[in-house]
Amino acid sequence: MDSATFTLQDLGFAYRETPVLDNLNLEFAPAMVHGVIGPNGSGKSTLLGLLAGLLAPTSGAVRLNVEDVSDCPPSRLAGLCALVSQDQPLRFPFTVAETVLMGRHPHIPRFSRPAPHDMERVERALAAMDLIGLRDRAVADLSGGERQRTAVARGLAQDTPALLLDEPTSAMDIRHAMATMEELARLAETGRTVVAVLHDLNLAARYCDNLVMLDKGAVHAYGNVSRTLTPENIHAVFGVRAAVLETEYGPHIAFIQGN
Amino acid sequence: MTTAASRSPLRNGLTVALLAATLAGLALAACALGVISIPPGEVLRGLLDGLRGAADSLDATTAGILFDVRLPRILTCAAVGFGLAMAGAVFQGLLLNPLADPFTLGVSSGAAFGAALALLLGLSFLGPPTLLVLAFAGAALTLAAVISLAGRDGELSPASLILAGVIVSAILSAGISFIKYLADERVSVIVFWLMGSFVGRTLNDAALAGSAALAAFAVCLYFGRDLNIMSLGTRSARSLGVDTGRVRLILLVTASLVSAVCVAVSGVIGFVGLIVPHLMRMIVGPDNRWLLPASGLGGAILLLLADTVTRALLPHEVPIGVLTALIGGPVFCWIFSRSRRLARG
Repeated sequence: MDSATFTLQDLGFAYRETPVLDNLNLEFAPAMVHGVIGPNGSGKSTLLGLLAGLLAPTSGAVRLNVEDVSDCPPSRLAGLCALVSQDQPLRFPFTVAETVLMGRHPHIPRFSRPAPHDMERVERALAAMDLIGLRDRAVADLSGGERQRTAVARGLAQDTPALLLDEPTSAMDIRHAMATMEELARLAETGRTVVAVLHDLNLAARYCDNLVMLDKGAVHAYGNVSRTLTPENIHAVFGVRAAVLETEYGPHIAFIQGN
Repeated sequence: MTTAASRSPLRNGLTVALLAATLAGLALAACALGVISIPPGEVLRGLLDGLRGAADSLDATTAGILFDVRLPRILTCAAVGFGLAMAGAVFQGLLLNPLADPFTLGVSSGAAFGAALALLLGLSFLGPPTLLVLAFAGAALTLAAVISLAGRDGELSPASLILAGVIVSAILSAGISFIKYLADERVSVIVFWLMGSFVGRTLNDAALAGSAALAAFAVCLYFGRDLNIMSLGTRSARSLGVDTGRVRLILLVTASLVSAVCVAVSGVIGFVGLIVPHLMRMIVGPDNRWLLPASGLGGAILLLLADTVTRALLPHEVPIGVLTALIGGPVFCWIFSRSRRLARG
């Protein structure tokens, strides 16, 4: 499998006149889980949209390996980079298995039936997200966390060098949230580039190799967990008091006071 | 709700084949039924001979009834039913809204406005097809207005399309009311046209509606899988490689134009485009590659059934739109309550 490196050069984005992201210079390297953290409205989802080529930068560029993602046709990009977004429409009764199979869309020619290896990917993704028992249920009838597991499974089935996820675990119970993060870590071990927007700082601390801390559209801190998740940074960005406790399992963040 | 197991490709293929066979049988029965009934065997022989170009097995009167009156009407009716129901399925998928139908974006109001104008002013500058041409032009202009209004966000998002459609429809409805007000004694002609009818349709009408329906079907089926994926939402669909803006525009124009042709040929026949896709979704599931053919065939069956009932079985012709709702409504209620029961059991 190809590897995928995202390079952001002087990247800026504005919705109409309002600047959302300003002058980002970052690199997302393969074989790592990158966490993007920051308060509401700090530009996390916009950043993912720019990486996925869904939004056009107002300044600067996003490069995937050597190619500018804005110039890359959607069908080609879909073979390189999967996005698990927070979209939740699904008015129609597609089942879990059918939805996960949609992840194979970029790999199946227009008038072909899914090949055995497509179905095998789907099965593996269903198993990884603990969805075997739910495979024939309509996604619209599932709980929020189960829908998120379906969306992540779809992203896994797409089987691309890069996987982008927008708050993939926000509605999951802790067991499934951890299983999801462990699956992402396994993907990173196989050389894939994983970029996840995360709300839960402890999940981020536990599973991310690298963190980007965004604040008001700019990078406040960037690097490994111990460098980014400090009480000072947390206070400056989220406006809360927290203590970072060193445990034998890694750092744990205890939140002390809201304001 | 059907389970995934009950909608395997094999089963769905059988369902579509069964629908096609039902449509063929119904068309044959419709040829036989009427004020003067023709034995089905004779109908079949006449049709086969007609296909071979040797039309001497029927007497002149029977042949006249079959080929000049019934067949054009039946073919037009089936084509319009197919086009409307298939377009309805496309609109529901495109607008991510199960309440959408071919007329949600104002196509029918535009066509009705054009036709009402032609009827009011007694326009006939193009000969008999004047009404048809004006109805189609009204629909096409409405579509252009809706797309240019909704396209301001650069995405043709379902929400802006529906809003633009509602606004344009409202303006046109007011225009139609005004035309009716001006029409005085001719108002009944306009009202009757608006209710829809297949009386006196010619082979030209059938050819027009049939080719429009088939061409639109081919285009929509080509994008069937993309339409499935667009139900995940715009961001997800685009990240799966679907060029959502382009696909949405192509399907929108295709489904609207076939609806416009249907309205121009037959008047405004509601209900088929709304209910048939729902019904078929319960039977073959939401996959558009099965839903589109099943809906088209289901729409043709429903409309032909209604038209045959009003033409051959009732003492007086009842407007077809009224009858489709009277026949289709209870069927839908039955299937709906059955599927709810199954879902709970």
